[in-house]
Amino acid sequence: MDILNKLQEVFRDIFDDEDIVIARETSSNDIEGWDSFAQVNIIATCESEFGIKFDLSDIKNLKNVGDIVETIERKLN
Amino acid sequence: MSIINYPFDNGVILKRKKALKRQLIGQNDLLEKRVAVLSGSTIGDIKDVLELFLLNYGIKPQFYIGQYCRFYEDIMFENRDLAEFKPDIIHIHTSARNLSDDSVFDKLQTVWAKIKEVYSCTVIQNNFELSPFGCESDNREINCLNMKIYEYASENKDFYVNDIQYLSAQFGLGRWFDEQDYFLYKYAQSVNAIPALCSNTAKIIKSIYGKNQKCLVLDLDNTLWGGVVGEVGAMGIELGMESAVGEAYMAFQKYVKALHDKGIVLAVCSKNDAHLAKEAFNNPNMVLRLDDITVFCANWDSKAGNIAKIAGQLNILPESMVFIDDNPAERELVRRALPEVKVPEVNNVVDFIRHIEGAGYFYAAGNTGDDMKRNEYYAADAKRNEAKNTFVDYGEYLNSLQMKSEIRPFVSEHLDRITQLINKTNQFNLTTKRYSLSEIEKITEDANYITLYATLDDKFGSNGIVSALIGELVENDLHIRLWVMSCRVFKRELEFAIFDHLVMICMRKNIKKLVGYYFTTEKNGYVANLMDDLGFLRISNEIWEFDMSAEYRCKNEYIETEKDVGQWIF
Repeated sequence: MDILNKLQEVFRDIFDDEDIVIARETSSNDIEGWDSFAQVNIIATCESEFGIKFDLSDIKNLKNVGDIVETIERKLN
Repeated sequence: MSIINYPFDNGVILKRKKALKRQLIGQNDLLEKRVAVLSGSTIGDIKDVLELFLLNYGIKPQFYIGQYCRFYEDIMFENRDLAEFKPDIIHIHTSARNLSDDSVFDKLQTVWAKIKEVYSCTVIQNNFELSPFGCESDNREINCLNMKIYEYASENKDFYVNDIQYLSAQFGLGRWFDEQDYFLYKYAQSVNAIPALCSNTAKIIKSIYGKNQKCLVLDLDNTLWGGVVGEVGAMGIELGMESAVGEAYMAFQKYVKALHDKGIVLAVCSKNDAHLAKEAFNNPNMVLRLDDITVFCANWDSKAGNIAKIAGQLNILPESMVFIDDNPAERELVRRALPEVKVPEVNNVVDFIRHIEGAGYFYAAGNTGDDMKRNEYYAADAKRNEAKNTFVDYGEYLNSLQMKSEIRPFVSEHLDRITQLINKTNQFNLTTKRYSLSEIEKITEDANYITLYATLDDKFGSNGIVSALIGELVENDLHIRLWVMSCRVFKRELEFAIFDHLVMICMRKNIKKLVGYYFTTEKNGYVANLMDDLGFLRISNEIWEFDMSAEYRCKNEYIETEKDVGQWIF
């Protein structure tokens, strides 16, 4: 839950929208402006905020917020 | 202070990009420029982040983004979109990722030549980072290539090198290159390096368009030397090679002296007794001399008030000043009272240079000789001010200056200085239109334009070229598209001498009327009444007309000029 909350702050910063609420099911279809460049930015920001590094193969498989959260969880453990 | 100012956090800028844009886009008086970024790798976020840094410097870019990795084709083949875009700047964003073939330099040189031929605009070319993997033979070639790029830059005007070789080293090559970001997104550099990269490009652009600071205002005690001179005396201050602290202050003074030699004006603003403060300059270890300081302000008044006075005395805007003081309370007071003054957040002498260079306040992308002479001009001005005080009548004072002016059409050897003057003059500037060197070159050769530059010399010294005017012939009228004058020569009635010349030329060319424009900005209030003073009639809010059929009486009384303009107008 902590990761999801922190991720929500990241999304609010990146999309400059304080009202964004994300859930594990949220995907790029649900958020305006979540294009490939925003995706790069989300990943780069997650890497610095959580102090982790995504692998090539991780990034290919990120379909929604849940995938991002799971990847972060795995990296942190 | 905004999170985009030096020393910024790359991650924060990427994350807060949208919010930053929202804050920066609302400013007034933005200078609009068209920037084409041609690709050697993904541009993507680079465009958005470069925009932020430019906005922060008061420049509003419009972008043309080249096709992915096609910088060569975009230029070498007919490109109607780019031609229609009319770039002010073409930035070629190449990197070590583009070094696959041997003929990179030839390829680039062909591209630059074609740009000159087709677009004749400013070029900003990245140089090349050292090899990501430290391969020695690669690095040798990269160094040779970079050398050739610099040689080309020194021989070609309007061409600037974006030194990413230095930038990547400073950032850390290991972090600068990110193989994953390259294979996934084809970003030549790590996503995290994008803000650092863009900040550097923006520094070059703002320097080209005259957005640099001009004056460094310095505190004294614990800023130029260690200790308080009022307590320990001129010989007791910590300065010189005897101690680590003394050596650090001496190094800072050497740096400041070098800035002075490059044309940065120095001022002192210190809470001190003036005579004690000046005595410190007798210390044999002082690198700076009293006469390096153009305005010396040591008293017990508020520093903000003193800095405002210094600005007034130098006739510059607060935004052109950088203030260095070790005392955080003083810095905060100045920031509050004069938010335009640049006040880096530095407490310790060992950090001063890094902050001044990092922020790029005085970053010179190519120097004109005039920059170097700026301090001579200001020194002569101080003498003029002394002389002024001995006269009661201002006219008598002007007469005593024995002023001479050369007023002539633009000529090729002066175009650098003229372009610089046009792009950095804010106060005496009727239209605030800005021109690139290439545009000025074209106008100089175009028979539809009447151009004038003016120098001003007097018994105290030369001021060099201080004014430029561009008029465009439209049928029988002359539209004054631009008129700028350096604040160095305000209130010397040079505008009258120039206008007399302009009218004389127009008479010979049978011009029926002059059309003048005055577009109000926050900074050009000085010339709000100029058109009226010259005898123009207001036609609408921003447009003025001067009827050439009326008898004209010369307005200039005090400046000697070449009376016969006939020799060079026909």
